[in-house]
Amino acid sequence: MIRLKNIFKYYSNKFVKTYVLQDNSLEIREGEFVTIMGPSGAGKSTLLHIMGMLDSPSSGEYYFYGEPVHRLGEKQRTELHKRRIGFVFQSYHLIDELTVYENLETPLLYQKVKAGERKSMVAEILDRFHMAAKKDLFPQQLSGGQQQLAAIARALIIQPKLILADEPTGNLNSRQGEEIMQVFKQLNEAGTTIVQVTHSERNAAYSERIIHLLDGRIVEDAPVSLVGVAGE
Amino acid sequence: MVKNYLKIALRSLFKYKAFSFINASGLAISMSVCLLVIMLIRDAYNFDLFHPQGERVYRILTDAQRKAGGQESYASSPYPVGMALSQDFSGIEAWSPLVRSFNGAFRTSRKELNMEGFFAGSEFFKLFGFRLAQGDPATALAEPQSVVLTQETAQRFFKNENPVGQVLENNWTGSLKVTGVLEPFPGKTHLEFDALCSISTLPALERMEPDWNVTENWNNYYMTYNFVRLRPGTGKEAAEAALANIAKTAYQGRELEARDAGYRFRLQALKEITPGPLLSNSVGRGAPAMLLWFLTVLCAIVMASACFNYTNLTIARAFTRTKEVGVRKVMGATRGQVFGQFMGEAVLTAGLALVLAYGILELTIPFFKRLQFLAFMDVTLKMDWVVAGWFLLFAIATGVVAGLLPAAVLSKFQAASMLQKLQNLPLFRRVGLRKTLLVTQLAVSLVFIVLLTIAWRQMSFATRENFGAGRSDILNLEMGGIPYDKLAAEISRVSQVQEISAASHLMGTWRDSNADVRASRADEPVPVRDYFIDHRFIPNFGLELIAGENFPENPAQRRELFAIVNEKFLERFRLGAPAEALNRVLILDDSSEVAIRGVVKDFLFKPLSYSLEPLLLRYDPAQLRVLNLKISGDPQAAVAALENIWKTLGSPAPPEYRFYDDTVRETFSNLRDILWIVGYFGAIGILIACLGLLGMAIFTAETRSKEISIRKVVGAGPGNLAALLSKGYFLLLLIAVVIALPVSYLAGSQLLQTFAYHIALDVWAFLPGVALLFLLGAITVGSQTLKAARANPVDALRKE
Repeated sequence: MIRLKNIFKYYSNKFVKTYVLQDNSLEIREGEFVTIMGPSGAGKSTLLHIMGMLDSPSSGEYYFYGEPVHRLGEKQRTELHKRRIGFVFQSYHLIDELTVYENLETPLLYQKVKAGERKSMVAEILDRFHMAAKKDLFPQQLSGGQQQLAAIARALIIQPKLILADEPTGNLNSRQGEEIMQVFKQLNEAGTTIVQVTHSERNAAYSERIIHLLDGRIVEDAPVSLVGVAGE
Repeated sequence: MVKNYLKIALRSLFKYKAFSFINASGLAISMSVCLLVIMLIRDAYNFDLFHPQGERVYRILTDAQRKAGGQESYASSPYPVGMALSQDFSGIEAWSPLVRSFNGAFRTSRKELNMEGFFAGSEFFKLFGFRLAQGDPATALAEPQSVVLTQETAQRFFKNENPVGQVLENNWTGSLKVTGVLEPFPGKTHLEFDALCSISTLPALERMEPDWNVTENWNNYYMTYNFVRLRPGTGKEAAEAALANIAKTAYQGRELEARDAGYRFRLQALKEITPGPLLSNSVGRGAPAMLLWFLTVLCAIVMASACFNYTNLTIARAFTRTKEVGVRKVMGATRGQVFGQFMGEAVLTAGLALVLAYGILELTIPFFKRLQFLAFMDVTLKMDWVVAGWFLLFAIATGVVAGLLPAAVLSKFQAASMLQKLQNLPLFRRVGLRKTLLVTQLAVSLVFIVLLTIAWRQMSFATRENFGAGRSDILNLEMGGIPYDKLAAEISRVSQVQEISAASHLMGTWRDSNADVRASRADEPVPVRDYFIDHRFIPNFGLELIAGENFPENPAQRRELFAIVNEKFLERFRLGAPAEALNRVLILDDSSEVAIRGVVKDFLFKPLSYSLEPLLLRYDPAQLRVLNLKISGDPQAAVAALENIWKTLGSPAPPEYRFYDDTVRETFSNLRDILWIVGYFGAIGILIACLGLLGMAIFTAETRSKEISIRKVVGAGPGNLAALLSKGYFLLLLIAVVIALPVSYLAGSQLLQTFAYHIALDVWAFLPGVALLFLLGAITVGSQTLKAARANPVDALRKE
């Protein structure tokens, strides 16, 4: 599904190039649940953004379902990611000016889904996440856990093949975090590929494979059983 | 999709009330004047649209080539030129000359009223779209001694009687028979008249006065407006070529006006008359195109400034929107969609501004209607669908212009970077552009204020120094055709009238009269401004005779004998010292010889835009037109007494009088109107600049809230913080002042150059503007910085 070859990412200002990612290659197959771990500043989020086509690598090749993403223009990339990839962020990133319902509807608007169909899709996902009663509230009127649930619902409404989650439980208390991870687990069992970035060993334990990044390089890539966090 | 955008646009407008207010009101204020100008322009293009095949109607213009070099363009042309064109050139379908000077007092058996109008050709109704309510358009202006009245004029003369067939008497034209009454004009027209007299009346009048000829005089390009309609398929160029031929044969060997080297004739399309170029001898109303351009440029400056603000604030505020943009991009929005969203918001804001602007416009229209020159242009300022359409289009265009840059900038960013730390975005490091915009706004406003200060002071100076200024004790009374000695004798019975003098026309006004003066037969004549006065004028106005004597009283004088001149006159004609010049003989207008009887000390007898020139004072009771009454005591009582006496004198018209200082004020009323307009634009400019400043201050206070909090935690007081935050703005203001001062100095000197006598450009021209700018800046910025400095630091730090 995802194949990265010799990915570099650096920022250059007047005097120096700062490398965020250095020469990383990686393959993720459909149906996997992958965790990316590493200390702050290791380049985890950048790697995730590159996979999500939100950011482009400074050099290297990226194939998504065999398509050479690194050769596509911005418009084509948007076209590719908006139908297949859902994003979940640590700070939810709901649009404050829109209600829950409208937030969920927005991705469908960008896919030009017809009004009737949109309505039923939003209703369905609201039901699935038991949020129907909250559909007319604005994000600030919800608890953190509920906001994150809404954000996940928004990511799922396009029925993505891949979910990219950047510290999805980072702003939540442990009970809320647990709930979110359960949702991810169910999604993964239903066939959705998930890549998450996390600091939490406990969250990592939900996944099958852990990639460790240190100073912009993948230093370890192994199944959970071998890394040994599953037991705890 | 659009609904979604609209929703979010409205919600964010409401959420950030302060910014929305600044944006919308800034746009609205400047938009309101632009709307006014749109109305003006629309109005200006409403002239002369009702004439049949008006697109083929032209006016013949004269370019008079001067001997001294250069040329002057006239709206009028010689009568024979129009006639020759209509006879010799086959491409003319209709020709109607309109000859000025058909005016004066006209009598019926019961009434005498003043009328103004034209002698018009018999094809007048074929050429123009004016319609007759009564009478036959084919014959109404055919016979000599026929007159056609407008409905209003007919009403004034004849009330409900049938006007057709009635007779009007006039001293000059004799009896005129009313042959038709016009319908009310179907629309606006640059032609203004109460009545039209058949042009066939003219030859008889010309025979009465040997000096005066219109219909056969090829050099009289002052009196006649020649209108022609070309046949379909006839080009303007062909007609102009025919005109050139006519001119070539007609002027060969002909003696021209003394100052002219030759004449060229060309055609001006009817629709180009109003609005049109400034021409000498223009008739009627309507805005000159130049004025419309001037206003449009002012509008563009003000509007650009308001759009700057929108751009500036929206980019500044982007940090509150970047997250949203990032999220939208993550969810699959393309760049175009984000761009569209921000454009939509800008247009919506502009739409909101339009509503506000319309409100402001409604409030300010009565004020503008009072301006004299608008009244002169026959501006109606009314709403219709076309105007409404233009307003809407203008608002959309404003939205697009204002929103373009922010939309482009905000939609350009990659989603990932939008979601990261905002302070790192290149956008926020590039405050230079915004500061430049702000400084430009401030500098432009300051230039406006300074110029206004200078112009205002110059105008007060000119008004104060003008001849007759402050003479609220002198009442000028138009003699209205009553003989001088009779009127003076009657008026002297009014107890409040201390002294009576008389003149041909008033000094200190724009009115002019010249005499060609020679000191000896061998000299070239030199035109000199002249005034006819009576023997009491000099003492009445306190003019100082430095040599010789005043005119002797001589009501029965048959021939002019004497002249009084000023010092400048002696200089110009090299007549030596005042005493030596006495009794020197001057030749006036080739006809009369007069002796210099006295010399007055130089004084300003024209408005201050004229330099001091030679002056010729003449004595001829027959030329006196206005009495100067020196009043003491209650002016109201004097006026009432005057009115009573006037009634006994048998004049058909009511008396026309005005105090001298009112006349002086009137003299500068156009200038004052222009000052008001520039001042209005200036005020708007300053207001907008202040709004921009306010927006920047709010923005800075917001973005620096963390820094402020930390400084507070380590012990900074509100005073220190306010100083810290304001320092940058103080610098911006200072830069604006440094830029604006030289610019306004240069522009101010240029402005003052147009006055021969003007105020000095001292510090007082600049100080009020600078002080005002700093005051407004301090209030604007201070309010925000103080607020930020007083805030609880914990709130800001918790957010981080």
